[in-house]
Amino acid sequence: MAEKRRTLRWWHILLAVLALAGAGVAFAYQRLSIPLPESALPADYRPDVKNGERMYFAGGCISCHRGIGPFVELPAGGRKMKIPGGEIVPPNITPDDETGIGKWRPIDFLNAMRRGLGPDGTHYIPAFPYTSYAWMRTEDILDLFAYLKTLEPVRNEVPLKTARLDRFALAFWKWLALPPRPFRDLPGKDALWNRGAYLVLGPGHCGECHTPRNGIFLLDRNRWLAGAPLLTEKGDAPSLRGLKKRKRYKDVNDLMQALKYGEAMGYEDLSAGGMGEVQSNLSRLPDADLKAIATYLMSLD
Amino acid sequence: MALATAAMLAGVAMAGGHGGAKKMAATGPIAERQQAMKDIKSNFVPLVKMVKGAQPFDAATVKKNAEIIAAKLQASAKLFPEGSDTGDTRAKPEIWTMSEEFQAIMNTAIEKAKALANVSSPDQLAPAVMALGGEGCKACHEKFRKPKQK
Ligand code: HEC
Ligand code: HEC
Ligand code: HEC
Repeated sequence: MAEKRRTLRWWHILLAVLALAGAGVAFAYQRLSIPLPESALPADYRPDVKNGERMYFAGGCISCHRGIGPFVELPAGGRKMKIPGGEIVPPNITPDDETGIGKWRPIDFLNAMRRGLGPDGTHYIPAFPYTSYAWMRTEDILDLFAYLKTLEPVRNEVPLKTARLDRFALAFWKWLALPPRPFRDLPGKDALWNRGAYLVLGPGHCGECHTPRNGIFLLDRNRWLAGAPLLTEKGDAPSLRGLKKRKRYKDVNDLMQALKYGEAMGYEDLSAGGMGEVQSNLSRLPDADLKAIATYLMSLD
Repeated sequence: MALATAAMLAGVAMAGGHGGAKKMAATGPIAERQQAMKDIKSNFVPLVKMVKGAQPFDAATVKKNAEIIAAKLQASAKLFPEGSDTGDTRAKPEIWTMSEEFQAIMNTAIEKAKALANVSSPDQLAPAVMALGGEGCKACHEKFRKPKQK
């Protein structure tokens, strides 16, 4: 008799703990799913489409969102890409009302890029490298949105992957992975260096491939750009540290040429493992930005 | 102590094994195509230097080097027998699953190398070099060459 009562009590406590933990998790999940409000948009903002186009190429959106057939030059989506444990199909981000982002408001786009959060509260899978894009300045993100709106709308339905459990867990992962705020210039460094650091860290998302990750896929900030195994195929993205010391590039100008022309000018290590697409996109940036990236990279020991 | 020694020994043994595997791959189509590619590169580099102004333009060198590149590319096309993507190689299996595309890029590269051989004035050089480098070397390596592995 006494024995039985004790068992009952034990279960009650466990249930209570579980219920509390469940409520805690549900509460935390809800908090982590709150989008940025309209007030996050700057009041005096005026779109700069030209700058948006620059962000589009710095960000390499077309590498993943490239369309198929007649739409290869547009981010109409639909091509499979490999991710750890499976595949994913990047969606259509042309401004089509039904199948693209035609009906999105600027705040929806800001939430996607800064928080990895969809207009309906979807937590995006970080194959969409928002963990880097979140470093981008609000104006740059909004300019990019304005640029996307100028593209030809393509009707191409690419539904997001159903992965409810993953997306639930991602809410918590993002809490660890997202940067606390957009990029701020480092005092004591000049404008060129800071521009380069910004482009590499934010839109360029170079760290997503070139920085090693820990067991739960968080970037290891202590080994920033130190080279890492790729998540999309076998092989590594090489280290971008000590490029000067290792005599990979003669000087800033040499690296700038490498980023601009890649293998077209005999720079051999800029093609495989996805780098070829990155380099093609970088080649569309003005020389000043390429010089900034090269200046920043060559400064890393 | 014993464990550390064992680990060290295992390390030595592994290094030995690795060296052996490398030596095995030093003959046959893999090593031959890698040598062909190295020769292609060493003939390509002087032409890039001419474009950059680091070396004076010389039509005879352009012709000679570009013809060697075209010939070596042609030869290398036969050095990718099915299944030679294992061992000490960066050839991707897509070379055989998408063989038409691989062949098409190879043909483009050969064509661009031949066009480069006909360049007779310095202002034609940059576009011809970049066409070979971009639509030939890069186009193929981007799709059909594995990234390095540590
Ligand atoms: C490395 C690949 C990759 C790159 C680069 C990339 N994306 Fe994506 N993007 C994805 C994937 C994969 C998804 C789907 C995520 C999911 O299913 O949760 C996605 C989703 C999105 C979405 C959500 C669309 C929707 O229908 O909900 C937007 C918006 C978006 N990306 C914009 C961009 C922009 C803008 C850029 C360039 C600055 C960019 N992406 C670059 C892979 C990428
Ligand atoms: C999709 C993954 C990926 C992204 C994103 C990426 N890289 Fe790379 N990068 C690679 C790989 C893989 C290589 C090696 C390519 C090869 O061996 O042909 C590479 C090579 C390089 C090299 C040559 C290094 C050397 O030793 O010569 C440089 C420089 C470089 N990347 C810079 C960048 C910059 C700058 C960015 C961001 C704008 C960037 N990468 C983004 C995968 C990536
Ligand atoms: C149609 C495809 C194709 C074209 C065109 C091509 N390559 Fe290659 N190249 C490859 C492949 C595949 C490998 C990897 C071979 C291996 O590791 O077995 C390679 C390897 C190389 C290597 C490394 C060789 C080594 O192992 O040390 C160099 C250097 C090279 N290529 C230079 C060039 C240059 C320069 C051009 C243009 C003038 C060029 N390649 C055009 C496919 C191509």
